[in-house]
Amino acid sequence: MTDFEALRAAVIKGKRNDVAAIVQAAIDGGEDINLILDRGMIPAMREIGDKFSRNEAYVPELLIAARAMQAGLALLEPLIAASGRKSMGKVAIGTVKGDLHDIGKNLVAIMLKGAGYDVIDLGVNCDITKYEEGVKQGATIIGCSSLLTTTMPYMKEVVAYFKDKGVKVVIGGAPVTQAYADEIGADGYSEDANGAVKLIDSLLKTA
Amino acid sequence: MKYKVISCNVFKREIEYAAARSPYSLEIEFLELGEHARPRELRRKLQERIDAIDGFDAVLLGYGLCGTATDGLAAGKVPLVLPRSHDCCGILLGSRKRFEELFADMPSSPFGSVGFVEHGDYYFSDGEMLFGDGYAALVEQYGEDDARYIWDAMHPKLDGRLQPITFIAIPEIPCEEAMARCRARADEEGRAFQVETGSLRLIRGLLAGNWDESEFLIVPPGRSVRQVGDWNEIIRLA
Repeated sequence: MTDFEALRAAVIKGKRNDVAAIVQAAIDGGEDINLILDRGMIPAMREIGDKFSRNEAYVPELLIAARAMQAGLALLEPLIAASGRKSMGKVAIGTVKGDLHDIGKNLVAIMLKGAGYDVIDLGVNCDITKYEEGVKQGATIIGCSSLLTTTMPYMKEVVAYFKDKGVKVVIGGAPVTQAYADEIGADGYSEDANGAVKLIDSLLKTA
Repeated sequence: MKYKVISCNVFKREIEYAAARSPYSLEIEFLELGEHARPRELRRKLQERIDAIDGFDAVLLGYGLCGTATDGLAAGKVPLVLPRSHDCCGILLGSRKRFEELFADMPSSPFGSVGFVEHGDYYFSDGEMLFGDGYAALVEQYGEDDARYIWDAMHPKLDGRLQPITFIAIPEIPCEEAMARCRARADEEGRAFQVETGSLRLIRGLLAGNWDESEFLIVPPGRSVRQVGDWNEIIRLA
């Protein structure tokens, strides 16, 4: 019997060795992979993300929580692949050109992976060519992130480039707003990583 | 003319220098540096102050867009004036054009100035700041392994290298000591260090009522600031 409460607490506190141990024990005990994610790790990441939004958690805490979640995901991923579980879809995600900040982008990537998406992480400083590589690898959604008001304008170029190419572009990051997303014609905007998963769910449902 | 100035104390020396030479009556209030990391809170603080101001000809802001802190800010009883700049870097360099020349290729490059060193920011402060904790404090709190991970995540690299830091030296403002501290910190982190000459041009213009609309946004009572999402206009009236 998996102690989901202990798993959630270990993710929130960023105890990656504990997370790995609990997840491994759960796997060994034949626990349902979906339950490990849905009752353990994902709610924990949501909680730390919400705390961060409320200024109750700081960047370091968010980072080690994400690292802990990643440690658990790394154990689950081969099993998910082997189980033949159908992917929710393929998303290519990257921080825009001129911007090297990837904390937010990495959080979105991890939440998407947890939700069952294939994520192509394009890294930072992504120009249009780089996003296009993601599309060539099968992504139908592009996620653009920026931390700075100086790099946010590049999103407009990305959105314009992929218009009418059968790919949806969603945007997010500290300076980005719904108003800006509407103005540049992006297919969606989310304020945080939890919202990003919901946004992409809804875009793929209506696609 | 009588102006109320509200400024980030990153510009403390520059504004004091220019204010001492201004023909106008200036009442100046400095707010702590680094608040751009929490733009909503900074916006709220600025708005509270702006709303309470009366009996001046204008409120002059020593702020740029600053992580969207001034996006949505409304003028109070008197006009509000602020430079069209993404952040203090453009203001310290004296023009948008100069900022573009130096930073358009890699806007994520860090910069420093006398005010940054004296008042501390994420690059210098080991205190409470969001991005701030010094490495030793991180080790103490999270242990060596996680501390290294956190440190690396907070100091983004491009192709395995930290971006150089540009120290902006304004000729009128003595900066040898600050520059030396900035250089020492860069060395410690393994970052290249470079110096560019800044200018008081925009700060002088702000305090002198010399508000060319291509460089300053003048917000009349009843209107507010809106970020544009570009490099030319940066902010406009909403």
